[in-house]
Amino acid sequence: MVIRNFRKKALIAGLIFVLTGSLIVGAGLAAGGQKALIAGSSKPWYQTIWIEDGKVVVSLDFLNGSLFHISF
Amino acid sequence: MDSQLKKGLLEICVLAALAKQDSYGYQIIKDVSQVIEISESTLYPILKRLEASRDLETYSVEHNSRLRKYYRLTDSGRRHIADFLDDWKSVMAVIDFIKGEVHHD
Amino acid sequence: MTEKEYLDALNKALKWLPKPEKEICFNYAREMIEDRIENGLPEAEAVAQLESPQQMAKAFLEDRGSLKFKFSLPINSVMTVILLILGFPLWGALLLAGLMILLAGFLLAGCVPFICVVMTVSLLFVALVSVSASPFVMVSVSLIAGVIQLGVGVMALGGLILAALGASLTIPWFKAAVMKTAQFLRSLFFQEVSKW
Repeated sequence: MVIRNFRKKALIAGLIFVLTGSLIVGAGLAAGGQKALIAGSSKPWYQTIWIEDGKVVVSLDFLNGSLFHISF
Repeated sequence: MDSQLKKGLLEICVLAALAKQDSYGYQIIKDVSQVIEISESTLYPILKRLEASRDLETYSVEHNSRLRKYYRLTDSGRRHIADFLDDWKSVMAVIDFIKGEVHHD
Repeated sequence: MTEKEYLDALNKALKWLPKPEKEICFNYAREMIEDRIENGLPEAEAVAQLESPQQMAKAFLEDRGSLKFKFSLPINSVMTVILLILGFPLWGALLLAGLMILLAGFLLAGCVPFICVVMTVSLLFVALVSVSASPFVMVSVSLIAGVIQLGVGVMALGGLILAALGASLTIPWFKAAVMKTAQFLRSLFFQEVSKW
């Protein structure tokens, strides 16, 4: 199957996903998510976003290494 | 046939195949192969060379939803054929001479 | 052999030709096959009437002429050779510096597609884990944290599509830049000599 204008559609799909995701995140934060994200040492490994020392961390640890890690 | 001679003849044959009307690759092969053996890989360099020497020009025409390359003989190409025919007259004279001498023996 | 197989084989045999030239040869062969098919020949027969792709490629390549090393300096004079050898520390260093700058440029330019690929892969994992684990976070940590994680996962999914798109755009662009430079460098030292 060939999708016409594949790149254009991929661009639109990517932007829609980013937008939807940030809306969900925004909604979560508006509903008092700040507090809920503060994680103690009991944070399960599959939690990929949390707040640590006042910084938001988005990270995926895998086999003692970090596949992805940003904090701001 | 001597390969150098054949090369020269093929060139003129290709030009001659375009004398009446513009033509395209496969048609040229069909026309020329009636008198002398020619294949795609021999035609290609000849067409390219004749185009470079401006004996023919090309243009593309849409044909059954694809482009087909057509070749057109230029004035220089016509002169080329005429020169060849002129030259050939003297070659024929030489051949007649050779034939004559051989038959005398 | 089908038309496609023939043309693929021809393409492969001509892979070292620059693209525009390859296109001319390719179109020529395709036209020859398609004109035969139009003339009523079955596809296999039309292809069989042509020479093999390798023979065809050979004819194209031979006609194109061969590469010949060109050296414009009057190397035949003894003086030039001596000067070349004595001057090596100077021109050798300059040449090396030039090559290094070129290499650095390529490394820098190559970073863009490289980063795009790395981002695609790592965001893929982030998206997978974030989205699929968000229900568990909702249960074990808190509902809102799980929702936020779901949002992060969806964002990562979008980011990964954009990064993949970036990679698919920049890789051919980078490849073309490398090819062009290689051709330019080659043209400095080699020239094409036509056979005819």
